[in-house]
Amino acid sequence: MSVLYPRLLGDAARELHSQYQHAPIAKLQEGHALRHPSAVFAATGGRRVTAEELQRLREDILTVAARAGFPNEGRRQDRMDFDVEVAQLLHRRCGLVAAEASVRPMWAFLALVLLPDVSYWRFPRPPGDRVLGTDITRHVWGRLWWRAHLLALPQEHERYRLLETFGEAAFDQMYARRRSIGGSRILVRAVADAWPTVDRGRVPERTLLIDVLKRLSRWGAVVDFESLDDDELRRQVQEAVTESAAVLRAVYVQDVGPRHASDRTLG
Amino acid sequence: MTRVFPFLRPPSDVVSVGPWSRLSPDGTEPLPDTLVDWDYSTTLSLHRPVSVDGLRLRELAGLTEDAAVDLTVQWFATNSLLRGRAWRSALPVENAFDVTIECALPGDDLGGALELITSVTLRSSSPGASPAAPARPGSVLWSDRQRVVLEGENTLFPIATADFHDLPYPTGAGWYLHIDEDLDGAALGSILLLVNERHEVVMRAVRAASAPTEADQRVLSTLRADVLRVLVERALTDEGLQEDVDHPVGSLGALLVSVVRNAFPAFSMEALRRERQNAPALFSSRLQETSQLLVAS
Repeated sequence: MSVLYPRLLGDAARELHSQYQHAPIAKLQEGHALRHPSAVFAATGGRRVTAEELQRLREDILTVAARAGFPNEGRRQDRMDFDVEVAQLLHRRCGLVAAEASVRPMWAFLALVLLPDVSYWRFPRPPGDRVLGTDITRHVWGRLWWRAHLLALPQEHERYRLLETFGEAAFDQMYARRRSIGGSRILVRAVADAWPTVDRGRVPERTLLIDVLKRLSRWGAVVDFESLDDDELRRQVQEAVTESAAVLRAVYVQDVGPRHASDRTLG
Repeated sequence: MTRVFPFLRPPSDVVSVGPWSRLSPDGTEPLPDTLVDWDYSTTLSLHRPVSVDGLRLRELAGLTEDAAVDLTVQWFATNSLLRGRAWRSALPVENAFDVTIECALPGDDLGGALELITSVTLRSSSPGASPAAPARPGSVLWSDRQRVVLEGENTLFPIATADFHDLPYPTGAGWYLHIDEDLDGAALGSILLLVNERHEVVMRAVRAASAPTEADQRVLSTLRADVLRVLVERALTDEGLQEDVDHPVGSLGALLVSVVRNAFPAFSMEALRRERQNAPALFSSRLQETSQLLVAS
């Protein structure tokens, strides 16, 4: 049975964001709560999360955040590690089903009511979509749950080993293509599996990934990837990666300049 | 839009499909368009008879008899946009091959509408195939799609109950339909029907929605009509919403346009806007009619 989380609707979320976006972390720590008068629960589809569960979730996320330097700024790499660890924690612990995790206002509740201090620490002075329930792809917590859900390997001992394969920007590329290929977990996992072995030369990771995804989307218009065995799926993904890398390497051998430098690593 | 396949495909009559059925505690029933009693904890047990001319389809797709071909069922959930394989079986080289698809779909990843896509796909080609034949494994030679709405009409909208004393809505109201501003945002998550826990009559009817009394039915009819009214009004009062502008599939804008089209198939949005402005009483009666307000069922 899915666990239902409170949903913080648009107006209340926007109001909190306008109060919080320039507030110091210490004030946001004081502002956190386990409930909000304007937050509502869905009437059906599971059981309501308890106050104790919310409190425990907050404490566990605070522990991970402290390791990453919270409440101080910390290093960029620490925040990457924080993301990977919290993605697993949210996915393992929240008891959410995918349909409930698609409901954006529940993520606004986590960001603005339960964890405002950590949310605004992770993305200081964020644009609204990092904390409001407007775009899960960009949401400080929602994007992490979805990253774990798409990349988790249910049958394996190291269930979340693929989480570290992609940074946020790269994962966004797949998540944004959910309707075509990003909704297919076997395909997303096959790309993640193949990725570390790719010889991309001087081709920026993001550029290569976008090309691979376009290639797979084109094939996907006439191919049912879900019908394939794991080996064959891996072979086709490898083929797409190899073709893209070969085409782009040829381009980047002739055309490497400073304008590409900023695109070389992914956040 | 017709999809153009870059390879030979057999004619559609190489496969004959029967209806999808659902196995329930009460026996087997045809799969309806809407599953009223579905929720996330439901595992759907489905089956469907299929007959395939395995020899003919290989010939007409330019494949040899050695080509390996599968019958596959894929599921797709419209709210999470997740998809996966539900069932697969190899198709032998024989005509009039009968097989029954049987699959079980746990509710965890489903929601919104469920699409069941039955396909014949190539598993592997073999030497001697026509140059025009499909070669890439997974190539779709034939497919068929059926959609079923999960969560019946009583829960099609995300519903929440709340004490209106704590919310910025009138404390004595029965319900409030919350609709977000962003027309391109996903419809799910943009709309929420809030029912006031203080309103006993409405709460009783909502709780009894799967087996309502006559009195509950009247309340639910009024609620449904009002929800439709609010959606139509929202669509008509938003100048940014035009029926000839494409809003993303699954977006609030697309939902509102489709609500107005379904409610008033004979009227353009412009005509409805004029009537709402110039003859509001007539427009109100029209809404009553299309929402079948208090019509005996």
